[in-house]
Amino acid sequence: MSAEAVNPAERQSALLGAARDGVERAQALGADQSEVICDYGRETRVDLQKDDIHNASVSEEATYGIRVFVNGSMGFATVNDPARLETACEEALALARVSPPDPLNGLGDPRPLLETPEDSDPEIAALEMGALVSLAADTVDRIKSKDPRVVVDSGHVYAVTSQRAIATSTGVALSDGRSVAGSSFFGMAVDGDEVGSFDHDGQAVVTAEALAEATAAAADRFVIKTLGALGAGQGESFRGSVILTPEVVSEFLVSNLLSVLSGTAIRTGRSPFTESLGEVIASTNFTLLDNPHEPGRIATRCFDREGMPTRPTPLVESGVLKTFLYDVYEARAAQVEPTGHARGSAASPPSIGPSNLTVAAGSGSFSDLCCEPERAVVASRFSGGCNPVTGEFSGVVKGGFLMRSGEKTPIKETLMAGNLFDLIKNISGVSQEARVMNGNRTMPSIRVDDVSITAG
Amino acid sequence: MPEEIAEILADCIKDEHGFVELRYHSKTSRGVAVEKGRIESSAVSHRAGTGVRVLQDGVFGFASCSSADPKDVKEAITRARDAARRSAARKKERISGLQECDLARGHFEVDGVDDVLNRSLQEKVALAREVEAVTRGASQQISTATCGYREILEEKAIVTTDGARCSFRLVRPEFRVSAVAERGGERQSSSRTMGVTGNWDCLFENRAPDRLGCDAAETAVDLLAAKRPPGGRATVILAPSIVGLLVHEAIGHTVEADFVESGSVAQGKLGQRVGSDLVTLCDSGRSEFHHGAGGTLPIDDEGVPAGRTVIIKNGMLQSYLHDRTSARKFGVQPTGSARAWEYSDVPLIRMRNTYLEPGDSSLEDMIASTPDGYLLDGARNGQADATGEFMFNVERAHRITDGKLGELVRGITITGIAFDVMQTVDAVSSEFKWDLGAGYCGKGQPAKVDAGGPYVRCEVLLGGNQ
Repeated sequence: MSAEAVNPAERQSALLGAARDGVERAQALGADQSEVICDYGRETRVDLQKDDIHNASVSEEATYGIRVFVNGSMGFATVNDPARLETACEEALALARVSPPDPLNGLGDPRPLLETPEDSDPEIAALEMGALVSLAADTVDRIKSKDPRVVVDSGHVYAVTSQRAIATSTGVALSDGRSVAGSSFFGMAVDGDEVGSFDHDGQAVVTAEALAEATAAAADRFVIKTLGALGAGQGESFRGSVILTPEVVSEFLVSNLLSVLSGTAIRTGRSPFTESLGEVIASTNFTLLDNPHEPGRIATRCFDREGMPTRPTPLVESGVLKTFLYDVYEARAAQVEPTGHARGSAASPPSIGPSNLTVAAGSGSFSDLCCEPERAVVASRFSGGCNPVTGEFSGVVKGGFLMRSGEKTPIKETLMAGNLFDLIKNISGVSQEARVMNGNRTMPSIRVDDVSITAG
Repeated sequence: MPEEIAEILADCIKDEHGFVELRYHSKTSRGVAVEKGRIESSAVSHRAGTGVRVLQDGVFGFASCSSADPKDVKEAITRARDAARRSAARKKERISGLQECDLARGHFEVDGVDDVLNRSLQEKVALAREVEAVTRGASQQISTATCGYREILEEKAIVTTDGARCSFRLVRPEFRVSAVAERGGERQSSSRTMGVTGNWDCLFENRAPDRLGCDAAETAVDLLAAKRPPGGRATVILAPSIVGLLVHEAIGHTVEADFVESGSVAQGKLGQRVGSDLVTLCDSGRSEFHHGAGGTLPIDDEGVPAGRTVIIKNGMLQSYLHDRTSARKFGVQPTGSARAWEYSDVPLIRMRNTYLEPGDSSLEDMIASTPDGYLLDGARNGQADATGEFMFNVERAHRITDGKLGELVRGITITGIAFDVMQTVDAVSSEFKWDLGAGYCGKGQPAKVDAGGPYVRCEVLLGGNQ
């Protein structure tokens, strides 16, 4: 019930063979250009529900994605059965033939990789179900021993091994593999009739050795977060400072900012930064880097979804916009080199996205960040929406605290509203403490000023 | 055909002991997305296989294979049993079994499959291109527009060792269009979506596709001149889309039995008042009041007929949503709420079509009798908490002053504690509409759901400027 029966190198070779075969079929059926990507994944997983083991599962699947170009038109099909590969080629071609041409459509030419693929830890593939069950059960015991009021509503511990191969009619022929193990916990604290706001935490790592420690740390944070939401009272309405924890920096600030830093957002006019390259778009203490070569991260990869070489890409340096993210199409449209940011699996056509993101840490402590303003709100989670076109955001601060002259009080029903593009100019502090999140984002806490806060 | 696969699967478990559930699921989706005149994506996806769940030594084991081949399925049964055995020693509360109930047998065909599949690819691609062009050309202030069409064909066969032997086919077409307006460096956007379980005509029966595009363009332009309102407590009339989001996110999730067991705010409240007399709230696998609801399904993924469950009746909490495991624990019948997104997913307790029953007021009278408030429509996104605290972004909000609809305002977020807000409901309209059919619910895995209801007047906290 553990290790893969097939050697990973042999599997990669077989996948590359299947990808090449798919390309040949698509070309024979009439494609001008074609790309076939094959993904294989095997997951061993233990699900938790209400502080207990709920389900143990093993799954394994290979997926094949075919992208074809005919007379400048594009079509894509995906299947999870190699016997349907020919049908998928035909379906992709049928889609291309009913689509209008675009002179910028087409594959990229092969380019030399800047790094060699990182070796996967074979110990992750060797993790047995029994070991994952023990880790899951021990972690629930750890959480309950810290405080029985904390409830793990759901969660899981998992180990995944995957291999990928990509071949194109333009000569790309690449393969790699990786292994990831991780855990996540979702739940809340319940104290008598009081139900706290729910929260979650988790971590993903690339070595089996790191799994237990990373899981324990995630569980401990989960306990602190859920307990912190108990006893929440009314906040205050004001316009002022908010401290965004690493979770909010990652899920709200960075994710929404990235949506307007892609080549697609620039080409379609959805980004306010079309003419801003080289200009100041954020506070000077804000730096954002995407590094697909960062060792030990789960999104580390030397080629992207289109087989283009990846490279470290500074997006914002000391507030200055340095570049956008490009795949082959968008690079061609913008007349620049692809940055290696085509993302996605064999189950969908490529789209633009980041790899391992880092917001540079600052010099002050988190404590200073919270205590410097006379009044501020700490947002541990943000439940809200941001319109990426306008930058307008509005939502509820979750697991929030009101800081008043250093005193910390949990608050509920507190709304935060403003504009993201103004927000990044109003960053008044970045913490020196930074945390790796979900195995691929390293985020500090950030203080922003002039935010509208409405208490219930 | 799924009915033939049901027979093959039944043969796979005829010699098995204990509880074994086999679920073949083939999902084919076709979609096209157009933006600013370019086909951004045109894709077809086919994913099929068999999910195997066993109850072994008081714990569930699950495995999957990407076929319905008996050899692969039997191997998956062995892997699922092995997984369960290896976890049993650390299981604290062993599962004693699944609730006995009437399980479905036979084949169920939901209307619309042939109609949607028989329409050509050209027609679907052309529609998306035309509507995007119409939307982009609706005003000189529209800087970009997008239009997308997607259809999901689902074919399932479910067999269990305790009697389920059923199959079904259904199709869910979806359509979405959005527009971005720009003036003097200011940008605003608006979107319209439709999603149904059913045929092509059903998808567009409320509004023609080009009208949806023009509506989005008009709103985006109007929002350029709209102001943010002041924040604070407010009387609001919620349109069916927002009512749908409220009953799904803020109440529906808290009454899913797995979440109730963990301690959601609905725990221990059966028989208690959680809303005003005007509030009757249901979740149904059928499309009640109006056909085509996007979360419609004949049977759930445990083979239980997916009927209607009254969750709140005249303000009193009456039922939770159950799968067969929680139903046995609670001593009730399952509600047909076990759903899995794809063959490789384990079934979870999920909603289907969630709604508030209509009342006897008219929207016109509700506006006329509101001295100061807002009419809210166009759900942008929504989230809710274990506490029942919810947060929704609203696209279109009109001020109501002295019983008359006034100016459009923007940037609205509403929040409140769901059961508290339900207690403030003082008017419910007789109009009814499903309005979240293009939506997906997330709970570890996606689920296609719908939600809606009448217009409802209540009090919430409004986020705005300070």
